[in-house]
Amino acid sequence: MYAKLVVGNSAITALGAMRDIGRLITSGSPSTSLLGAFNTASSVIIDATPAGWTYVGSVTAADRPTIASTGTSTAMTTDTNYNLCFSAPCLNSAVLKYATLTVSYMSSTVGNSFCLAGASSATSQGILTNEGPRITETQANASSNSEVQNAAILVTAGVILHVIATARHCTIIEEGRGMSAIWESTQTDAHTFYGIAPFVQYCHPASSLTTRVPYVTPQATTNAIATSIMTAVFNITNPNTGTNYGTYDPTDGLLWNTGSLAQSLAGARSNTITTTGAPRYQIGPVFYSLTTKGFPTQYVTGVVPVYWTGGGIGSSGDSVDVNGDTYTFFNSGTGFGIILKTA
Amino acid sequence: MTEEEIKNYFGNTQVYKFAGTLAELSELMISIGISYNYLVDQYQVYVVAQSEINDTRATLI
Repeated sequence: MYAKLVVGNSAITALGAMRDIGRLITSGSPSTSLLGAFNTASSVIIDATPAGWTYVGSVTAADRPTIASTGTSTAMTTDTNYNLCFSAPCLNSAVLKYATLTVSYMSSTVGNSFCLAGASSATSQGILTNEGPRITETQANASSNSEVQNAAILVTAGVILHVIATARHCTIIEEGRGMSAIWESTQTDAHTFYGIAPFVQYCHPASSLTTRVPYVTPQATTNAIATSIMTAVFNITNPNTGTNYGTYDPTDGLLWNTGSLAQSLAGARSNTITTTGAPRYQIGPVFYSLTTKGFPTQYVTGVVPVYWTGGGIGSSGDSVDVNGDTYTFFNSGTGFGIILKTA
Repeated sequence: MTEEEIKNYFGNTQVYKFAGTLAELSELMISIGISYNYLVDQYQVYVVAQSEINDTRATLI
């Protein structure tokens, strides 16, 4: 499923945006008739293949047992938590991966941002176990929202979101700014032994920033947040020590935890030239490794049809040929670009 | 891991030491309706939650 969602001339509430995205990724026939907040005249479903995610629940009574209908008010109450929880099966095992959408600013007046995160489980009441890193901010701290927005997806005036989802992933790209994703990865023997879902949260809502939020859990903040990268794997047990990490950051800075997640992506998104000196751009696979925790290299590319590439090298929607397969380029800001197949 | 390392792992928020199993923790948190993250080290369960945990098995470290 690929939906290009246009906010329009006026900001919409984060809750309204979350509900629209939730209806689309859980629908058997995604269409603009499921939109209650995004501009229905400008938004378009480019690939209506069902995404294959299942709605699990919410902390909000109006969103239980199903997401509230498009006609329901999307106004938010200040300092109230809102989330929507989803699950999808993994390719080679019976375990589920979980994703959640959560309002970032808990404010009735500036509540125009939200976060995507992973979790190791969720209930119908929206109670999450081991949710990945994200930030929240109360109304009292809303004056600092310009800083905190670095770690959140915006739905302010003029924003365009590209939502691409299959049962293997849910990727939300904010045009020209950044992206947030839940990506399934290859399953290792360690995943099989511990019975855990092989997936990673990689959120980088402002790709021009190359520093990460230093948390592995959801955090309320009262401080300016100048960082953007929030990444985690879930329910990782180190077979050498027995320590079980509910969430663990695969880009934790240890040199032997390697991978291509964006903060170490310099080699994969470099430009090169043809033999005649014309510019040419490389693509690189998405992968990560947790060798200090007993988990060998895990590839996202190959499970999810995604590659990194250079930032700003084209327009969202451009076709890219990768070994005979057609991928779509998405402009995720200056830091990097990504290409995906939409079904 | 030391308690200091565990606090750092959780981002220096309120960390509780839980005197029980993960299954008991799950049961408790679902009953009181709070999302939570855990770490298990040397068979000891540590937990952070979205609000305070008022239960005799949970002790702040």
